[in-house]
Amino acid sequence: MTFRDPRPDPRISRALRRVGADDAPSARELAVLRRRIVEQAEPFLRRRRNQGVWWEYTVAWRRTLVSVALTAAALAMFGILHAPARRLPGGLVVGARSSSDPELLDAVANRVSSGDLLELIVSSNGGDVNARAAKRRDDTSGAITSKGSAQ
Amino acid sequence: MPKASARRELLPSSPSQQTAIDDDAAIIAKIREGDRTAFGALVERYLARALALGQRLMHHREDAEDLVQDAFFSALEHIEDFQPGRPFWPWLSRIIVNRGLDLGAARSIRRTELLSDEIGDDRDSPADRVERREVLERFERALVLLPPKGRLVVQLFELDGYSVSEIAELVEASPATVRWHLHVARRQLRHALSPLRGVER
Repeated sequence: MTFRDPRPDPRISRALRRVGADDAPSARELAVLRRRIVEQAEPFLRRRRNQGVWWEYTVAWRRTLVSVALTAAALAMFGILHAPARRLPGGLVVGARSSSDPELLDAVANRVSSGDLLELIVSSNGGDVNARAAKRRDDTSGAITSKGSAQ
Repeated sequence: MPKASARRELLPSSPSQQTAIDDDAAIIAKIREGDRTAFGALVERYLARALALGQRLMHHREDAEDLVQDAFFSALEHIEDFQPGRPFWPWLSRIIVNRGLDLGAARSIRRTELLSDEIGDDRDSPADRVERREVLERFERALVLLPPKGRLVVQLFELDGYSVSEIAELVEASPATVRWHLHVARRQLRHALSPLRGVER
């Protein structure tokens, strides 16, 4: 108590006791309440018993893990900011066709049949395949036209 | 339990505080593993003073028991936040006070009904007894109508012998604020007591 603190007022203290503000519980009442509190906590304690291992591990290492994560993030940021710029290989032209076999691309674009496409890949002779595919389409359409006129 | 020892339960820790802190740390380590017996030991250790504090806040036994039960469970839920090596009681008491002040504000009106009929003294004349009862009823009404924090402060100061700085730490306020609460509360209680001639006896 400092010199600035007021002194207790005996009249108020007595009156507080008189109106029952100072009732103390009996030992039996305390035991009943204790049992109630522990029973209420039992499901929570059981969960802790079951998950104790990983939980404790996490808690025990949380400070270390946070420090390691922060250090790794700082190093990664430093690496990104200070990494040397990589040059593109010389002679590379962006947008140039990279395939050495333009016939293969044409065949795919013209929707040749899978059999013809396979033949093109095996033979690497796309011009023939494209020609054959065009001839086959012509034959098919001619047959349909003659069939229609016959009817 | 005698009343004097109940008041003592609320007083700050004894010189063997470090031993108590060490014991608490061992108990809490077991509770973190889910040890029911250890939790029971912790409850037993602090239940009496927790309930005494709860009664200061709630002014009603059943409400105080509910508050204490709730506070112990909350402490268990947040037991990872408790730092071993520090005393457990201030941590628990702050949980009780914070929850109690919230609950107390909500329930203060209901408690105005809880007035004692048996107050009196056999040596008084019937007129004196009537007057005493009326004044004490007014006193109790003034007490329960105080703001929850003011009621707690005045009871801790007048009944439990807490100093202003100890109360300030408990209710997380400055000593000046506690002094102000104490001043307002005591003024209202004195006013309620003013016509009472025999309460000093």
